[in-house]
Amino acid sequence: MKKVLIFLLTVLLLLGLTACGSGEEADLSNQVITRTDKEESSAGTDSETEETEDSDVETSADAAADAFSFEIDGVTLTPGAALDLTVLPDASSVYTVESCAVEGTDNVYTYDAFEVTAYDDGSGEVIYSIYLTDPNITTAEGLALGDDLNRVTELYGSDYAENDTAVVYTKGDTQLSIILQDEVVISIEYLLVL
Amino acid sequence: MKTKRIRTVLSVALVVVLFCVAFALLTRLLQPKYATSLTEGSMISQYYQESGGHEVIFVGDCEVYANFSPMELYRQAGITAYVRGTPQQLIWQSYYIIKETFTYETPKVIVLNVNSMRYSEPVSEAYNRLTIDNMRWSSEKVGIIQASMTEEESFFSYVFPLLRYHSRFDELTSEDFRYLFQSQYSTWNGYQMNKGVEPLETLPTYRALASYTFGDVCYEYLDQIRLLCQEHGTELVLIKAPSVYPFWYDEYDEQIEAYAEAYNLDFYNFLDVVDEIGIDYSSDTYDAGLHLNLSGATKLSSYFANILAETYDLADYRLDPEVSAVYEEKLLQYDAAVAE
Repeated sequence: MKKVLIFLLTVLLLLGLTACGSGEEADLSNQVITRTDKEESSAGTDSETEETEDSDVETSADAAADAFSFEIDGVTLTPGAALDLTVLPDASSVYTVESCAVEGTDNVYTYDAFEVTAYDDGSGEVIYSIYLTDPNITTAEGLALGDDLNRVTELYGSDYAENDTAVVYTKGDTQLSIILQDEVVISIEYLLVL
Repeated sequence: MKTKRIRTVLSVALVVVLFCVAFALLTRLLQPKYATSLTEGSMISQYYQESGGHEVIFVGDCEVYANFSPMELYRQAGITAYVRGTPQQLIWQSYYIIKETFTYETPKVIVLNVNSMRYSEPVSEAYNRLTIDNMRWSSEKVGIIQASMTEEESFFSYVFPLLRYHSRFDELTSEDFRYLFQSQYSTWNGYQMNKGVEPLETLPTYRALASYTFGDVCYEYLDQIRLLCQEHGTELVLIKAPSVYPFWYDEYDEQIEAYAEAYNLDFYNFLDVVDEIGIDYSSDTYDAGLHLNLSGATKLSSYFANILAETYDLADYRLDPEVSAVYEEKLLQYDAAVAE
């Protein structure tokens, strides 16, 4: 009888104390989740939320090795890298997107030629996306808004995934999502794959 | 011999009972209480304390529970309403919540916020938990779990939340003990009051999307919601709350209008009538246009109260002594909270 009791209580204790699930943190408040869904901020990734656990943020230089990066005025911006606002000019506006319920925010920094969306992972801001808004600037490889599909494949090749009107190139944990309308590029966005 | 066997059976039964009680207690202790933080997680269960007698039920995401105040609907037109909104409520979750609602009451009108039509995949476990964890067990809860789970989640973690929350041991706070056997609710018939003011000054660039077409699964659940309401003789009313971000694209609007027209449903996009409502985004929002604050919600609710009262043959319960006694008492408390 005592053996049965001990066995059952041991099972209970083990259930309570051991990592029997996925091993994820159960504290939902630590998850950064905002209403900036992928439809608004991207056209390529599968994840609609920004969820982080322990900070594993690379510096821009580290992250750029196997990633798509946007370069402007000597500054390299890579999705997944820490956002260093000191190397950027003052943003013309910042829009903060609060989470519906759980803690966490996105900040959308608007500059003259591009927008950077960043989330706070608890230790600092991490770049989630870079969205080009000015047809006069180009990607590091030379693509600009208004170019055509031939130019896209000439610069990036034909190894892309199609997502409705977007062609999506993936490198490491980043994506370059290019939306075309009538074969003309109308949107270029660098994204972190979460 | 027989006595010994009976004693053994009783002892085993006692051990099993003790085990179950300990298991249940441990589960309850480790589950988030949503009492003083993340209070949105308790919204779903608050309804069970107040179910019945509502002629209007709102369903949807934060755009309903932050923007529509049933107290103002009552004050303005004597409407009895409840907001069954939860954070990031997806269209399939709305379906199961409506289905569950019909097991408690049959409202005359179901108001569905269509913002969720843009999401055709489960979004995140965190939001799933806030909506589902505190639902009462029913076939609807089984359905909502199966429809909502992300790839990383398991059905059993909803059946046995201890599997999910076991690691909260070192995160327990006084709230977990204070609300071990009781709940704390923070809404007014499902409305979450927020009196803060953060003006809308700027918005991000209006971005092109790869696709504006709602997913098939969203239409499937919208169809099911429509048929469910039809089956119960309940009017389904589609709305888009006046939240300015994330952007509600014209292409989205056209699809909802086409659907509403095809099935003879009413659709109110309040973004189109913000001036008529009197919403001022410099003072009527607490987070730069994502949600309305108390002032904005009061304006919107008063505006919608008139539409509901004039269009859907709702009773004016201010004239019903029994119901009005309950609501007048609630209004006193509500107004006190407003004045705080």
